[in-house]
Amino acid sequence: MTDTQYFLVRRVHSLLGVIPLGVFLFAHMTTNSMALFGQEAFDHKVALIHSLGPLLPFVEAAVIFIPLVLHIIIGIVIAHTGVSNTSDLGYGRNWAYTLQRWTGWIALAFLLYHTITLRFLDVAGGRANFFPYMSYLFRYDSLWMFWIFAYLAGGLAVIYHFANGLCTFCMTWGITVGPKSQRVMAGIAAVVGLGLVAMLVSSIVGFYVNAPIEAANWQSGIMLTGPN
Amino acid sequence: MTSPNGNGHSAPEHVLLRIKRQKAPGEPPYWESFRVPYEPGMNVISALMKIRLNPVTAEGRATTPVTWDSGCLEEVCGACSMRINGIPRQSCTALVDKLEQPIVLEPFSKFPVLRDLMVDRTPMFDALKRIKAWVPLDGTYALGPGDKMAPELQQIRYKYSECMTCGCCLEACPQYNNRSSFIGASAIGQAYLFNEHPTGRNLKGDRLDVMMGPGGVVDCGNAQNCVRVCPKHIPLTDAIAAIGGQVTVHAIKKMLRF
Ligand code: SF4
Ligand code: SF4
Ligand code: FES
Repeated sequence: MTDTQYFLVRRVHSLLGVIPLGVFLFAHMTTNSMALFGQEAFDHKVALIHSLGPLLPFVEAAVIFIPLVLHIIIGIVIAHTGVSNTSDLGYGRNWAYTLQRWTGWIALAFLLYHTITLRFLDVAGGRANFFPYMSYLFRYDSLWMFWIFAYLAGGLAVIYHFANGLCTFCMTWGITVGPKSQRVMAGIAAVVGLGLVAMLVSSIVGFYVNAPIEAANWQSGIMLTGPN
Repeated sequence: MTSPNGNGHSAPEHVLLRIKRQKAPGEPPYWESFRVPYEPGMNVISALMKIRLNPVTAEGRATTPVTWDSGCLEEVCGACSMRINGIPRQSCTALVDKLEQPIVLEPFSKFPVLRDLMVDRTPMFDALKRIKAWVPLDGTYALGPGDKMAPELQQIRYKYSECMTCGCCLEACPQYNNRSSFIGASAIGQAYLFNEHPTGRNLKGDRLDVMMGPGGVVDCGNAQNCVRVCPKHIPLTDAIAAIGGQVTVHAIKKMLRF
């Protein structure tokens, strides 16, 4: 690999994390948080996305799927080149570095399960009826506590990975050069991250509190036969 | 085991050290403990000197004296660097009074051990050659005086010129290890130092080529341990970000000129 190619691979990884993946994360969390305002508000948002119709798979591939897979593959290679040493050097940014790798792995496991169940399995039967499905998982399933925990853990991992990634993005590209600008950026990233956490939590509350009646007697069929 | 010293405070009679030793390159490491007589104001090197005077372990077994490296004894050469209680630093300025005991001494883990606490720091000097950390002046005729440098720039560059190639920043760096070819923070700092020099700038392109390739600045993981452990307080992470920016511009230029 030439120097330029190597540079490009590393910078593509860095850039994809913010654009489009970070932007998509915002859009996705906005949609989810609509659950707080009830099923109608949420379904309205989902319908908006689905209104892309036949274009949807292409947009998904270009904005989400391909960038995500590239980010993951390069990320795994990068993670392999590091040996974390927080036990001797427990400095804040060293923890941030180590957590960036851990949350990367957690996010990977979470997103694999998430996309397979809620994106690819629903392809087979048409459109998923997400709201009652999530309400069922978070409220009526015998494992409801586990589902909430998994959703929260996965969501927090993704959000941390994104927020810390914003800071390192600015360092990597030479945007924040001194310690002061890096501290300001850390503050901005914290606000962004907390905003996303608020959206994450409101989606859990929404799916739980606004559970529709059919969620209680949910069976595997409902998920695949959503409203038109 | 305490006795009064000159300040009226009680001082310990002995200093306890635990040292990771190794007979030769490639040999398995082993640990030995030593108890040496305390002296006010002593540092790790003077404790090691006491072991050399009387190479007997804490258990009373005769052993070989512990080998270490040192030069200036005033924290400007970097030769005496080692891990002291887990932290990479210079043993000549590590005061025993300020260290928790037993004082654990280990050689740097990221460099080949020659013997005991002495390591081979050649990779660092090779890195300086790779990035051409010098001002190119060789020629067949006198070039005359160089360009003037603004005092502000002198101030910034001065910090980086203090680097003593001690290796603490590399020892602390999670990205500097045998799984990666990362060049490490000190070389990035030096690339910045010479890129900002009015004449050293002539080799900027060569340096940035190294910095954008495998092992270059792009392999930094922004853990920022380097800047925390650097005994000279060199703003390494400023250089990393600045070189990151320079590399971006350099790469775009390269891609447009093919
Ligand atoms: S910022 Fe971290 S990864 Fe980069 S050189 Fe410093 S210690 Fe290493
Ligand atoms: S940058 Fe600091 S820690 Fe690194 S080699 Fe130079 S003086 Fe040592
Ligand atoms: S002997 Fe030179 S830095 Fe310690």
